[in-house]
Amino acid sequence: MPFEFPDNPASNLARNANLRLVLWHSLQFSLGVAGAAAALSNVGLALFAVLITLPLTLATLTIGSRADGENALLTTFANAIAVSGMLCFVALLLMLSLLPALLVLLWFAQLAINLTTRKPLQLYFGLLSGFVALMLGAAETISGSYILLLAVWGFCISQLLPQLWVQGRASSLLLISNQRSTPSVLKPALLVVAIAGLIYLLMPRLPAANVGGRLAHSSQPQQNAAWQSQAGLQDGTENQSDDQIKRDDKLSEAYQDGPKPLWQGDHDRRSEYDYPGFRESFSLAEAADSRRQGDGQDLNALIAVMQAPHGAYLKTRTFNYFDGSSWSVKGDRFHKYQTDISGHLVLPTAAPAGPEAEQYSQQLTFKQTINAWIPAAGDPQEVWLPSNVIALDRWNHPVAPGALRAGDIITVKSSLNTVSGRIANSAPPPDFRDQQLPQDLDPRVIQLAYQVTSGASSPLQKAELLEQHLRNNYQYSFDSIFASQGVTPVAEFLFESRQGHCEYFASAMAILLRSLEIPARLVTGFSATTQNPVTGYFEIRGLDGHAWVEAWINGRWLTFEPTAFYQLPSPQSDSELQSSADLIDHYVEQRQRQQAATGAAGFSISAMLRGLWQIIYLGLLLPAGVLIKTLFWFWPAWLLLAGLLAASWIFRDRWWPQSYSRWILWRLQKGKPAARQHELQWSQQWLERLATLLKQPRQRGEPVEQWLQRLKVTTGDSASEELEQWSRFYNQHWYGTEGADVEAANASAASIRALALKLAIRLQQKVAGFNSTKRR
Amino acid sequence: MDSPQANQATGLLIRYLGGHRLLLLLAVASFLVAWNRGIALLYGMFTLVIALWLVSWLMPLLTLNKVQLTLRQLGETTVGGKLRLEYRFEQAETLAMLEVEALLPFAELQPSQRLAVAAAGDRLELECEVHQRGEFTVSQVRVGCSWPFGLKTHYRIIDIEPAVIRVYPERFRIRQLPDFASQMDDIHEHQFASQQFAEHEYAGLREHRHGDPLRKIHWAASARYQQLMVKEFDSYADAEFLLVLDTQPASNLGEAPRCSFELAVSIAASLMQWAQHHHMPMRLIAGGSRPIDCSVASHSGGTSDYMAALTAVQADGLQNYQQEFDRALLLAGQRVIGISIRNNSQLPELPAWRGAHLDIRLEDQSFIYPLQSYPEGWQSLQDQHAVMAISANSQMEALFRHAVRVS
Repeated sequence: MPFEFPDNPASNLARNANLRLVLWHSLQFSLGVAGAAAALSNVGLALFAVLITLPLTLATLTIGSRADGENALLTTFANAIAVSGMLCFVALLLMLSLLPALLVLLWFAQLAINLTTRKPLQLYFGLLSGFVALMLGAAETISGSYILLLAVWGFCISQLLPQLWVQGRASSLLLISNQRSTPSVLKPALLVVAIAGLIYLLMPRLPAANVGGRLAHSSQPQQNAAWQSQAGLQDGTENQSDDQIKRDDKLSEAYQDGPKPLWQGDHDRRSEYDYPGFRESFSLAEAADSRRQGDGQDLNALIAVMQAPHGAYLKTRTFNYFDGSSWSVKGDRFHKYQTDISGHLVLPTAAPAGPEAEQYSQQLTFKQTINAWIPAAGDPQEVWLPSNVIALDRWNHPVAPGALRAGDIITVKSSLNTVSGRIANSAPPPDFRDQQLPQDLDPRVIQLAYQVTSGASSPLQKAELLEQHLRNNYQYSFDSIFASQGVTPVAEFLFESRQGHCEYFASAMAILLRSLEIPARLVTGFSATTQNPVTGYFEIRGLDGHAWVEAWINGRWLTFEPTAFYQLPSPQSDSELQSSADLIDHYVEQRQRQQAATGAAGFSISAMLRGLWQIIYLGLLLPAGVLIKTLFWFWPAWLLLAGLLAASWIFRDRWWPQSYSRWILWRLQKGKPAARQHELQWSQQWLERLATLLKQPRQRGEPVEQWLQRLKVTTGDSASEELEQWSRFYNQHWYGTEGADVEAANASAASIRALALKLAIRLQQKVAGFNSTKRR
Repeated sequence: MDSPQANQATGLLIRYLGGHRLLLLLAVASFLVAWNRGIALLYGMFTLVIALWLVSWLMPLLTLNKVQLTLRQLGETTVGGKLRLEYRFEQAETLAMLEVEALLPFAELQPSQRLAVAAAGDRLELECEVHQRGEFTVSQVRVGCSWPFGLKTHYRIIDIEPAVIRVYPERFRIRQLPDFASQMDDIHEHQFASQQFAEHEYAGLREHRHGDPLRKIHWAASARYQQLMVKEFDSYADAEFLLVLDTQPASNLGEAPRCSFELAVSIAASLMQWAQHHHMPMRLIAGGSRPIDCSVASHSGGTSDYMAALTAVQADGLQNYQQEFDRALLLAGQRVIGISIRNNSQLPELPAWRGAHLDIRLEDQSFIYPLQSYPEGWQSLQDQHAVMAISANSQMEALFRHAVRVS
C-alpha cells in the first residue's frame, strides 16, 4: 500500500505531511513549467501553464497516493497520458522547435508518473522534473525577474523536502511528542534563499567556455540562389585608383546586387526595427524623428540580446558621402561567399590578428527583425549565419542575403585591435569619398576645425582634440534641430543650438576631420554596453541605435566617440573577473546616467532603491567581493592549504597527541590565571583535565584521597608529597570546620601546578611511547 | 511487483547517489552548463542548489549540538529478557528528524528509533534482548539528525550522564531443596532465637538503600563520599546454608553467556531467591575482584543485596575452590549446610565441616559438546551428602521440583 499509515501515533503526522507534500510538490512543478513557458513564449502562456498544471498535479498526486495497490485503471490512464505526451512532442517538434516539445513531453510524463507513484521515494523524481523545467527556462529567458522565480522555487523545495522525509519513513517513525507536526521550516527555507542570493552576488563570473552549442539558428534559414551563383567572383576593383573608380563607377550587377531591403522581407512589420541609420541613406532629420517616442518606434523595445565577454560597439553600416544634410553610401559592392553546412564562414578578407588583439566572440539573438547588415565589433574574422551564402560589402563587413529575423541567432568572432587605446579595424584604405565635403559647407566649420586643433601636431592629436571639444562643449539631446533657413544642420548644431543626438555629433566630427584632410566616415550600429546583471545578456534596445566616427590615422581606421552621453567601451578593462554585485552596480550607474541624460530628476522610487543599493553595495558587497576575488586569485595557495589540511586530518594520529601534550606543558609552564585568587581554581581545573586525558578521571562520589591514590600510580609516586598536601587542603577547605588559610591556599595552588606539570610530562611520555609502539 | 534486481539497483542508487550527493552532482552539472553557456541565471541555479546542500549539511550538525539526553533503566532485567531503557530529552528546544541509537556494548543488536519530533521532556523507550549478565555503565548514545531537509544525516556519539544498567542473572524457580533433617532443625531453632534475641555487630559502611532507617545513616561519611552512607551490622548466624561460588577462571568452561560460571551464578541466584522466599538463612560467599559476602537471613528484606552482588561478580578469582571454601567456612562457622557448585572434572578435597553438603556438579563436557546427552538429576542422597548433576542444557526447574530427603 503506498504511503502506509500503520496504526501508530505517527500516522497522523504522516497524513498531515502527505497533504502538505502534495501541495508543495504540485507548486514546485508548476513553477518550473511556468518559468520554462515564460522563457520560451510569454508571460500569458506561463500563467495559463500554472492554472492547468497546479490542479492537475494536485489531482494526480492525490489519486496516486490514495490508490490501493496496483490499480489497472490508473495504470491505463497513466499510459494514455504518456502516449498523448509523445504525440504532442512529435507534433510540436515539427511545428515549433525542440525545446517546447521537450517541455510538453516532460509535463505529460510527470502527470503520468504522479498517477503511478507507489513509494514516497518516487516523489523525489518529481523534484528533478521541476528542476529540469526551471533550468530550461533559465537557459532561454532574457528577463532578470526569473531570479525571483528561482528564489520562490527554492522556497517551495525547502518546504517540500521535510514532508518527503516524514512520508518516506512513516512506517518506522515513532511519535513521542504531543506535537503533531515537525517544527516550521520557514527559517531554513529563508536561509537557503539568503545564502543562495549572497553566493550569487559575490561569486565571480567566469568567461564562457562555449564548448559546443549552436552558433547559428533560424526558423527559416535564408537562401539566395542569385547570390549563390555569384559566390566567389572577383570584381577587380580592389587595386583601382581613385580616378579609375571615378571613371568606372558603374559596377556590374553582380556586385551591386545587395541584400533585400527590410521593407521587402516577409516578416511581421510590427516586429521590425527600422533605424534610419541602417538604411542605404538617411538624413539627420529622419534620424531625429526616429528618436521621438510615440513615433511608431518603441525605443525601449528589445531588439536583440548579446552574449559576449564584455560590451562593445557593434558596427552595421558605414556611410562615406555627406551632402550637407544626409549621409549615403557610394560605391558599395558585395562580394559573395558560400558558407558551409553549418552556416560558417572564415572571412577571406580578415586580416591576421595582431599578438595583442583580443579575440571577441559575440552571439546575437534577435528579438526584432533588422536589416541584413550583421552587427559586429572590431574586425570580423568568422561568422556563423543561418544562410547558405554571405556577402562582404566594400568595407569587408558581413551582410546577410536578407533581413535578420526575430528569433535568428548569429555568432561572430572578431579581432579587437587597439591603437593608442582605441579600437582599430582593418577595413580597406580610404578613397576620395572619405574626404568629401558638402558643397555648401559653412566656412565656420573649417575655421572651427583649425581653431580647435591649433595646438595639435599629429592627426591623432587633432582627432582627439575635436572629439573632446564636442564631448565637453555640446549637449546630448533627443530634440531634433530644424535647420534655420540657409543654415545646414551641422552648422546649426555646432554654432547655434549646441545640442543634438549622436548622428549630429558624429556628422560634425566627420566633417571637421575631413576639413583637416583627415579621411573620416560615419558609422552606425548598436551601442551594446548595457548588460543585464541578472541574466548576463547585453540588452540591445531601440535606444541603443547609435552613430560614431572612424578616422583614417596612421594607416588604420580608429574609432572615435564624440557624443557626450556615450563612452567607448575599453577592450581589456572588462575582462577581469566580476561578480554579480559588480555588474548590478554598473547597471545601476548606467541607469542613473541615462536618467540624468534624459532629464529625469527629482525623487522617485527607483532613485530611492538605487540609493539603497549603493549603501548595500559599498558597505557589504564590495568589500566582500574584493576579499573573495583576492582569495580567488591565490587559488594555488588555497589548493595547497586544502591539501595540507586533508593530510593533517588523515595523519592526525601521528602528530596531534604529541602536539597537544606539548601545548599543555607549555601552558602550565607559561600560563597564568587572570588573578591570584583564581590560581587554585585554575590549577585544579588543569589537574582534572589532565587526569581525564590520562584516563583517570575522578568518579562521582569518589573520595579525593582514593582518586589521588590512582593518580599516584600514574605519576609513579613521584608526586606523592604534592598530592598529599593538596588532599589535606581540599578536605580542610570543603569538609573542615574552619576554612583553610590563605597561605595554605597559595601553597596548594603551587603544589597542584607542580602536580599538573608532572602529569603533563607523563602524558607526553605516554603519547610518545604509544606512537613509537604504533610505528613498530 | 518490484523485482529483487530492481530493488537492489534502487538501493545501490540511493546509497551512492542519494540525498546530498545528488545535490552536489546537480550543482556541478549546473555550474558546468552555466560556465559553458555563460548564462548568468544558470549560475543562479547553481547557487540555489549549493545553498540547499550547505544548509542540509550544516543544520543537522547544529541541531545535534542541542541534543541533551538522560538515560535510565526501566524495571528489572534478567539474562534472556528484554532490557527496557528510557531516554529523556532535556534540551529546551523542540528538535525534529532525529534517530536515537543506544550504545550497549553488552547487547548484540543496538536498539534504535527514528523520531519525527522530540520536545523537552519527551521520553523514548527502547528495548532489546540481552544475554549477558553484568553491571554496565552506559554514558554515551548515538544520535542522528537530518533536520531540516532530510538529505543528509549526521551522526554523533553524545555523552550522557552515566547510567548503570544491571542485567541480573537468570533465575529459575526452586521448589524444594533436599531435606537435611537434623540440620534443618537447627536452622529452625536459630530462626526462632534470632527473632527473640537479635544481636548485631558493627560491620562497616555501605551505600544507602531504599528502606534503610535514617538512624543508621553515617552523616560524616555521607558528606565525605558525597552520597548517603549507612552503618551495617552483622547478625550472628549459627546454622545456615553456606553457598560458595567458584570464581577461578580455570574452572570456567565454555563461552559466555553459555559457560559454566554463568550457570553457576544462575544457580546461586536461584538458591538465594529460594532462601529468601522460604525465610531460610543462606550466606553467599565468592571471591574475585568483586567479592561477595551477603546473606539472606529471616529478618532481612529485599533482593538487591545478593542480586546486585551476583550481577557484578566476575570469574577472576585468585584462589582455587578449596581455598575459597576454606575461607568461607572460617567466616561462616562449622555448623553449616554447605552448597558447592563445581565442575564435574574438578573434585577438590573440600574441607570438612560439621554439617550437611549439597554438591551441585556441572558436567564439563556439556559446555563443549552441548548436543550430547548427559546424566542429570540427584545422583546421591545419603550420609548428609546430596549430589545433583547438571548439564548445560538441563531444565533447572524440573530438577528442583520434587522434595527429597537426605538421610
